[in-house]
Amino acid sequence: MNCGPPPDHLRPCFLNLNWEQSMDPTGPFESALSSIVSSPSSNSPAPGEGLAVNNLVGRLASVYNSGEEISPRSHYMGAPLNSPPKLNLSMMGYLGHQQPAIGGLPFPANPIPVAHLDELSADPGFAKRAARFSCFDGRNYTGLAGQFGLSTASSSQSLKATGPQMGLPESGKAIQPQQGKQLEANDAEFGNAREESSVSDPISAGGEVSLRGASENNPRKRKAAPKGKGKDTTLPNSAIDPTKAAEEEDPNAKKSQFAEDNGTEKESINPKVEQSGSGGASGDGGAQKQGKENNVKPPEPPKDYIHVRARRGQATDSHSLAERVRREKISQRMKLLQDLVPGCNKVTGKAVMLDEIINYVQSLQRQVEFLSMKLATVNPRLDFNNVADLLPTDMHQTGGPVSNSVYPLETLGAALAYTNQLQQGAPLHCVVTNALETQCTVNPLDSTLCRTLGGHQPFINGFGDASSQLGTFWEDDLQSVVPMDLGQNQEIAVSSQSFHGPLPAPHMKIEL
Amino acid sequence: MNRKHRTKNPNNNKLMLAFHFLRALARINKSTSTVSSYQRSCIIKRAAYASMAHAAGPRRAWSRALLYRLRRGSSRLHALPAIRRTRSFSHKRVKVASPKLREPNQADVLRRLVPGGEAMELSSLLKETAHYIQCLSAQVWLMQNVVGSITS
Repeated sequence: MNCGPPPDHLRPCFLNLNWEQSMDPTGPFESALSSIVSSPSSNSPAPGEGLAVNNLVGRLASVYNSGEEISPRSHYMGAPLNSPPKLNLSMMGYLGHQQPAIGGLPFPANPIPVAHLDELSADPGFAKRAARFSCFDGRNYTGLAGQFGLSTASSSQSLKATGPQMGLPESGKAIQPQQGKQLEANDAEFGNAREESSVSDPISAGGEVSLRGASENNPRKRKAAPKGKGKDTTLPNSAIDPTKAAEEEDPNAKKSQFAEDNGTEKESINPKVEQSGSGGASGDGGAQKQGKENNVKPPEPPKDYIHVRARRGQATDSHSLAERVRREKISQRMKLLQDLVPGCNKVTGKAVMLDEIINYVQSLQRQVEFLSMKLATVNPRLDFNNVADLLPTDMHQTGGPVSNSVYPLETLGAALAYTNQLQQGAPLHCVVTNALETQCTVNPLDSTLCRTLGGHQPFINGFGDASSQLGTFWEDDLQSVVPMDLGQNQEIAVSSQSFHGPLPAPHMKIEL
Repeated sequence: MNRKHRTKNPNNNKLMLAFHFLRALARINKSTSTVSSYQRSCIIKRAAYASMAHAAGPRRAWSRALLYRLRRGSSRLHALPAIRRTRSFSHKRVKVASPKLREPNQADVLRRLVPGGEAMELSSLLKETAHYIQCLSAQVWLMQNVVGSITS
C-alpha cells in the first residue's frame, strides 16, 4: 500500500496549522499558505475573487510542485492538485464564499457544487465542509475529506485527528489512477491508523458515501467503516450525524457554530449530509454486525481449537458455541453408532437411538455369557491339535494351513510364557509341562520355539502400542516359525525384543 | 506402522482376539477339570472379556477399565461401581449417581453397561460404546465359531 508517511509524521504539521488562529510559518508550505491566506483577505468580493483564486491556484500549485518532500503537507492542499483546471474551478467556487484562511484550499472541479457553494454561508469551516461533501468524486474526496477535516478543526485536537486523515489522502492521491477501491483501502487504513478520535472518521466516510453514490458507497462504507471502527471502541459515535460529530469533535464554540451553520445549510447539501449520516448509521449497523461476528472469533480460538463461526440467527456467546460444538460431536458419534447397531437406520432421535444401543450392548453381553456357558460344557472335547481347527479359516491372512499348524505351538508357547508370570503357579505349571509332553509330536523344535516364545512374554502379557505392532508382528511370526529354523527362531526372538521398547510395564497380568 | 495398522486393523484385531481367547481356552481346558460347569462358564466368560480387552489395546478406556476390573478380582464383571479413568490403583471409587437421586436416564444405563463409562461425558461415552460394540461383536462371532467347530 502506498500509504505515504505514517500519521505520526503528519501530526506535527497539522498541529501547527491552526486555521482559526494565525498560521505558523514553520515551513515553506506554511509560509506559502500564509501568504495565500493573507491575500484573499484583502480582496473585495466577487470581482477580486477571480484574481484571488488565480493567485491561490498559482501559489498552491507552485508549492505543490516545488517538492515532494513536503508531500505530507502538500496534501493539505488536497487531492486535486494533480488537476490544475479542476483546482481553478474549485478555487473559484470556494473563494466565492470569501474563505480567508482555508480559501486557498483547492477543490476538485465540479460545477454543481460550485453553485451550491455559493449558497453557503460565509463561515470558513462550513464552506469547506460543504465543498468537501459536494465536490467529491471518485478520486479526490479523500483529499477533500482531509481538507474538510482540517478546515473544521479549530483546535489542535481536531487537527491532530485529521492529521492522519490527511496523510492517507495524500497517498491516495499518489495512486490516484486507481480509483475507488484503493481510496477505500486508504480510508480503511487511515481509519485504523487514527486512534484518537473516531469522529472525523464518520465524517470522511460519510462524505465519501454521500458523494460517491449510494450503490457504490454503501458496500465500501461497510468495508471501510468496520475497518476504521474496528480499532475504535467508540462505535456508537460513528452513528452520529456529521453535524453532531462535528460538535463532539470540537468542544469549542466554533464547532457549535459549524453545527448551526450546518443546520442552516441549503437543501442541496442537506440530502447529502443526511445521506452521509444515514450511510454512517447503516455502515455502523454493518460494522456492528461484523464486529459482533468478529467479537465471536477472538474468544473462540483461545477457548476451542476448532474454529467455529456463529451461524446467522444463533447466539454468539462462547458458551453456546461450545455447546453447539459438543452437540455436533455427539450427533456425529450417534451416526457412527447407528451404522454399528443393526437395524437402526430407520430410527431417528437421540432417545430412541440410545435405547437401541443399550439393548444391543446388553444383548451382546448376554450372548457372550451364553456362549461361555456353552463352551464350558463342550470344553472337555477340546485338545490342542484341534484348537487350530476351531478357528475359521477366513481369519488368516497368511497361508491357512501354515498358520493352522503353527497355532497350537504358539498357544503352547504362550501358555508357557504365562506360567512364568502367573501367580497361581503350581497347577498351571503342571498343565504346561503336560501340554509340552503331549505336544512332543507336533514339532521336534518345540523347545527352541518355546524359548523364543518365552522371549515374547512381555509382549504377550503387555499391552501398549505393541498391540498394533503385535498384529503385524504376529503375522511375520507365523510365517517365520514355520521353517523351524534356529536362525529364524532367533530372528523371531530378536524381532520380538525389538518391540519391547514401547511395551508397558510387565506388571499387567491376566488373572484368570 | 500406524497406517499399516489401520488398514489391516479388523483382521488383526480378530487375530489377536483369537490368539488370546484360544490360549485361555486351552489353559482352562487343561486346568479346571474338576470345577462345576457354572464356574467353568464364569471362568470362560472372564477369559473372553480379558482376551477382548487385550486385543483392543490400552488405547481404549473401556479396555483399561475392564482389565482393571478383572485384575481386582471382582466376581461380577458388570459391577456397578465406577472406576476412575486414571490409572489409580487406589481404592477410590467415584460414584457419579449416588449423591443425588435422579431417574436413570439412558446415558446412565449406558454408562453402567460399558466398562469405564461412569466417569465419562456423553461424547466420549458414545465413542467408547462404538468401539466396545465392535469388539463385543467380534468376540461373539469368535465364540460362535469355536462352539460351532467344536460341536460339528
